[in-house]
Amino acid sequence: MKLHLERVSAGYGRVNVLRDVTLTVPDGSAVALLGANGAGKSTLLATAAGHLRATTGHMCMDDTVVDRWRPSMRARHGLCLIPEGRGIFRLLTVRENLAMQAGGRNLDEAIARAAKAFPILAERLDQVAGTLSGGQQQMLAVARAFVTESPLVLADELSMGLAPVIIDEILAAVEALRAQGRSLLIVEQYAERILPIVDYVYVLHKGRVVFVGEPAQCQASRLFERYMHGAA
Amino acid sequence: MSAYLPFVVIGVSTGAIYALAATGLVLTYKTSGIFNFAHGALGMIVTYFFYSLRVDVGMPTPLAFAVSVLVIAPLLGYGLNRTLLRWLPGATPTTFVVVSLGLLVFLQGVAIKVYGAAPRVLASLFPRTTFQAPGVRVGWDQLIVVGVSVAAALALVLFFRLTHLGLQTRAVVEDATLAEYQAVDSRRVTSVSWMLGTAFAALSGILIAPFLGLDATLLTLLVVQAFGAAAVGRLTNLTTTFLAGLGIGVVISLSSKFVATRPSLAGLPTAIPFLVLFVVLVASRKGSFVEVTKARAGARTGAVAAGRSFPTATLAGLLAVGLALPLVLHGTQLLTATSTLAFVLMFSSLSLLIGLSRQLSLCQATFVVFGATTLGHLMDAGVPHPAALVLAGLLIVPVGALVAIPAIRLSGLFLALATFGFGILAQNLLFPTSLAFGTKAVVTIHRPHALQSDTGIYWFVLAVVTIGVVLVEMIRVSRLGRILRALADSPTGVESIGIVPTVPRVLVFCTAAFLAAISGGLLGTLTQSVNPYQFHFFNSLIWLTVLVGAGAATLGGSVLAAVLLVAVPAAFTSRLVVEYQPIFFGLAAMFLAQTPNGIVGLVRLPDVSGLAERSRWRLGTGPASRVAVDMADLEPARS
Repeated sequence: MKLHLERVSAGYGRVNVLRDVTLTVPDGSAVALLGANGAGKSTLLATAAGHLRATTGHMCMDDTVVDRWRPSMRARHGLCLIPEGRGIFRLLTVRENLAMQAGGRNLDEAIARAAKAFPILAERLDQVAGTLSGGQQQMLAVARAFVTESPLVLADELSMGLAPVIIDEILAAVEALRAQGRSLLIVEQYAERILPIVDYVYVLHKGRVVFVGEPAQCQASRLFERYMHGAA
Repeated sequence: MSAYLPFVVIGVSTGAIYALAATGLVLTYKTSGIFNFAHGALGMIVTYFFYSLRVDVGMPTPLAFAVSVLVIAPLLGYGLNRTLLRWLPGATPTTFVVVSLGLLVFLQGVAIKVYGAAPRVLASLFPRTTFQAPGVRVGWDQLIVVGVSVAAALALVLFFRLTHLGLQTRAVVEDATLAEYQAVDSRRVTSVSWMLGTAFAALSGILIAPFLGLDATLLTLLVVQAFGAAAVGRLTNLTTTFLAGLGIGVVISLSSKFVATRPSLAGLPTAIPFLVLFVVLVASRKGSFVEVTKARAGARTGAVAAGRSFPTATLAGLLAVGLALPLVLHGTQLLTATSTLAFVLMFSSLSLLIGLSRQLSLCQATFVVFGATTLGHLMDAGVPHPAALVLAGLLIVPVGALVAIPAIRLSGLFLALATFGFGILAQNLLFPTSLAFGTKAVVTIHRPHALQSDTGIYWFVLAVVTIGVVLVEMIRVSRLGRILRALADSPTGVESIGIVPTVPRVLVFCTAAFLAAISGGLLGTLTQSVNPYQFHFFNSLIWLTVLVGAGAATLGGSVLAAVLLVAVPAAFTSRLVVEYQPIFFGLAAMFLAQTPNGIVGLVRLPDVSGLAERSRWRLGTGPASRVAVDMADLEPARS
């Protein structure tokens, strides 16, 4: 198992968001995490990445318990979270962002990997990241998965606020990651776009897992009508 | 022109040191969100340490220098960052201000305890010979100081531009969470910048001490002059900060030549950094000063249950004690009690600002001084005493309104800085004028006949303080009090329900100034003469730490603060108590800054009405116990 959450509860202060969530991302598989607004999807990713501490339950990466690891520690051990919004430093240049992603290792190689995934980035190396278009900013954020070669990638609403043509390009990159054998946990609002490229589906509702299964089972169980208010 | 050149040379060399101090200050603020009021005090402590290594241990100067700046200072910075941040998870910027002020008072107390208050001479680190530059003779030491400062600042810029750690630091400043996601340990990065910042403070302290002498207060406050430069750099831009520091140094030096022939402006040169600070903060566009501390999840706003109802029982009890005191106390003891009473009023006025509306005011001593001196002037003009006292208070109200101007526009840290600047400005520029002390540096207040006896003055002070304290407690439970409490929590929320926040903020500052001035008048009447040294602006800082330590939210806290500040050192005449007092106050403020109501808040008296409430709850008729809110349950049911 690349990532395993065992009966995890978490939240903000006194406000409990996740309750008793058990979730597994097997080695080399892609898992979609679906649910309505406020279901707890982003909270689950933030907890998995270590930003929020679970109040109960345990979490493992590669069968190592990581409950008390800081986000930076988890990142060093191969977890790459691309957070909601734009996961970039807007005041730094594209090159500096890539250097951050590379973590001080070979910058030229990082640029080459990013450019292979998103060629436009290579043309913008000295531009301040905040002045890129929204799509290019998201490409720069997603480029981190390619630069770090993290075996486990968590992606939060990559398509949010982007033009359809850009979404195609981003999702193509996600498929490329999958083809490279990475383990993926993907939160996505366009369920119909993501279902064809994942192995398993989890549906969260009010902080609990209400469905686990394969994409094919989703339509049959009328999931979207019940939990996602026609989002699909 | 050539007459001014030597002053430019002096200005550049001292300015380079301010610039260095300011750069270190901005560095730590940017990366950790903690504006370290104790920055200068840290430099001071390391400078003393350097002195000890060099003089007492006999280490060669370069080695002592290296140990102090490269080992001790970074260790100090590292330890502070780790402990301060660990003590204060999710603290507000206001809490950080109080904690760093506590640290300042603590460090200064320690330095005076260990090395004594008398200044020492620190021999120059560099050759004192001079060389001839075009039009002016320049000291080698001056040139080296500038060289070292510029080199350190350049090194910092290169560190940010060229090293990966520098890049990580910039990333953490922008978004610490994202940096964590990208495998950067943000705690480590913050620690490094604290180590660098403290080293900068130490460097500036050691460089400037040979010029000014080794004096705990002087060194603490000289690096505090960096505040002006830091404000010009918006507390974020290192380059602007450095240049502003240089500029301020030159302007100070040139103005000291200018005022040499004008004794009434003698305070101007030392006031310039604070003039810059005050003007930049007050005149800048709204929103150009944004605190870098983002409200963290679970941040405590310091909401207090205490102080929401009129403290009838406490007040009655204290009044009974007050009425009984003249029966048991005589002579100097009674005088101490009288002065303690006057301080109760001062602390009450301060608690309106700090405890109720959470506005940090660091110039309360200014109001006290003006209250006393104005009373003296009015009585000289023939106004009878009680009327003159009230009139003096009313005359200080406009000063309170003036200080309220920054309060309307600025909050938290920046208000604290602006009031701090105002307090020093007033001391340097206004105190020497006829508005306050004039050139004699003393104002005499003749007690009226009825107040000649010890008991007479005691009863008078007791009566006035009781009225004042009742006023404060009434404000606390009034609509104004509720609005101020709400403003402390969310100004946007208050505006959104249609209340203009300006009026309550100005009102509370005016009331606080009025009451502080009255307490100043009472103190002046008691001592019959006041001088500028009694209420040095540094007192404002000590008072704040005392009040926060004792409890800023209730009457009990104000009384305890006055007892700790005045009565305790008078009761224990041993030097030990006096010496350890600031150390204790500093520590108390640091540890208790985040508690809702200081020491008083920690003491739990049996609460009769509360017990009744709870027993009803057990019977099942009272309010339900609080349950953790479940986010999911708040969501409307959907099908």
